Amino acid sequence: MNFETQKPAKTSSSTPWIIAVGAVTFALGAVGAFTIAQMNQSRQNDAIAILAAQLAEMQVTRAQTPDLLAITDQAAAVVPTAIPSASAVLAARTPSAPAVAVSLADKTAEAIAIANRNKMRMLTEGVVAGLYSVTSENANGGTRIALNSRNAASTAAELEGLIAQAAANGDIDVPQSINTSDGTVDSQTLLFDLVQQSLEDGSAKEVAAAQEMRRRAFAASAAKTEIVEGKRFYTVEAGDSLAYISLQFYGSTNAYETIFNANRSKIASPDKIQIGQRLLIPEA
Amino acid sequence: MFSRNFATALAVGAGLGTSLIAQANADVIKAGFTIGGVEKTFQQSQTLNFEGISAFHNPSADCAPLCIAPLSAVAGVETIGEREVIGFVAEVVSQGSGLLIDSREPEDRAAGYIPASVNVPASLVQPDNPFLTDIMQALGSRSFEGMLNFSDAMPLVIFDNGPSTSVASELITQLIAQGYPADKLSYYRGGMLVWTALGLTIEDAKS
Repeated sequence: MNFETQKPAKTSSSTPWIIAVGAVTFALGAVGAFTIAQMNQSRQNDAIAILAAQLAEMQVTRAQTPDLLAITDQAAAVVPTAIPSASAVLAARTPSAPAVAVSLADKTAEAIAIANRNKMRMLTEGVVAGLYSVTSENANGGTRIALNSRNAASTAAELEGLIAQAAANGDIDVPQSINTSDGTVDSQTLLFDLVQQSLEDGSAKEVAAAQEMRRRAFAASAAKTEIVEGKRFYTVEAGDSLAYISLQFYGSTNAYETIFNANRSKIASPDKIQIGQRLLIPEA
Repeated sequence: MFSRNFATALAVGAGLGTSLIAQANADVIKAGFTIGGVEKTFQQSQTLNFEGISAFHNPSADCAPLCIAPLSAVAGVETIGEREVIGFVAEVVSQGSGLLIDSREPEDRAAGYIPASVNVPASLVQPDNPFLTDIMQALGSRSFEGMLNFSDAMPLVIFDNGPSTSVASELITQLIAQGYPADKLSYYRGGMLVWTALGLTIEDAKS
């Protein structure tokens, strides 16, 4: 994947300039200029790889790893930044690209990484600014909660697409709680998960935004329940994951443990919920 | 304390209709049901209850010269008649999955009410009532961090003294302001006045 192979040899004396110009072009987001299919494929894969790395790190933050040193290290890495903003948290989680090998492919990957970090930042900043709504939308015969961004609508959709593909390729380690009852991965829930986690680890304003997001998600849910002897029960539907059910009743994906713990007798692990199963939903 | 009593009252009210056996088809308007082990029926009397009619005709002073509620309470909320009210009690209230709501104050209700109805005075469903969330939960909605979710909220039929009063409309307006879905609400505009004028069974504090 060398840029020079696409250019006539006679310009080789100005190659450094071309590389520099190319890099700037990428950084400006004009990556679409390349039409070679293989190049596109590689960019896509790079983007997914970077996203996968981000996701993997985020999951480490939440999953209680037995490696306490790793947690300490991560905390130490975040603390020095004066005021941890969503962007700072995201930046800290993103592996800094090694500036050693300055091949064009690396430049491309870096440019895309910047673009993706910016997308995620735009999305979370929009949530902090209240530029979003959480709605219940009809999809595949059921209603699903969806995050609608007003400042980054296409971005949210793009990220969701990337997440879905990465999950399908097995490039990201999806938390068990996000595995659905029919064995697929719910990328919309993963998107909620990403945004909520980045906000919950942020500044006071971002933490408040996370709470507001929980409230909106809770209010938007169309899930119906039954009360039996004072206890609330929900029947698992197609496409549900434990994280999605948690999103509906507690407004956030990471309260899934509350449901999991209340239904230990029925669920072996968080990814083992089945359509038609009746789950006890403890009162918040 | 208040909210618990209130919820209990609603629960009891909802329970009253559980053994209801009703028919509300084109030929018969009659419904038999049991309240606290006592069999009761929706019946239509041949004679007029003038005492009841005059008790329920009490337009308030502030709506002069004409106290006549519009046919529709709030856009999107269906207005229904007596046959639908009886059908609702027979099919929905009897299953414990809906409520017939008397929106009047308890002192007005004491003069007489529709059997199987429960009392939720419009004056209680106000934004400044600290027990508002409890009331909404008693009506079936879910609550979390100060937000309400109405996916489980019960269908309600709401009435008051009748077409010369607007209490039911006020309650409907307040419920919708809280987020209650309009399609889960119905307005029985005839209320106690028309119900009584048609000779239909009423109950009062003495019965």
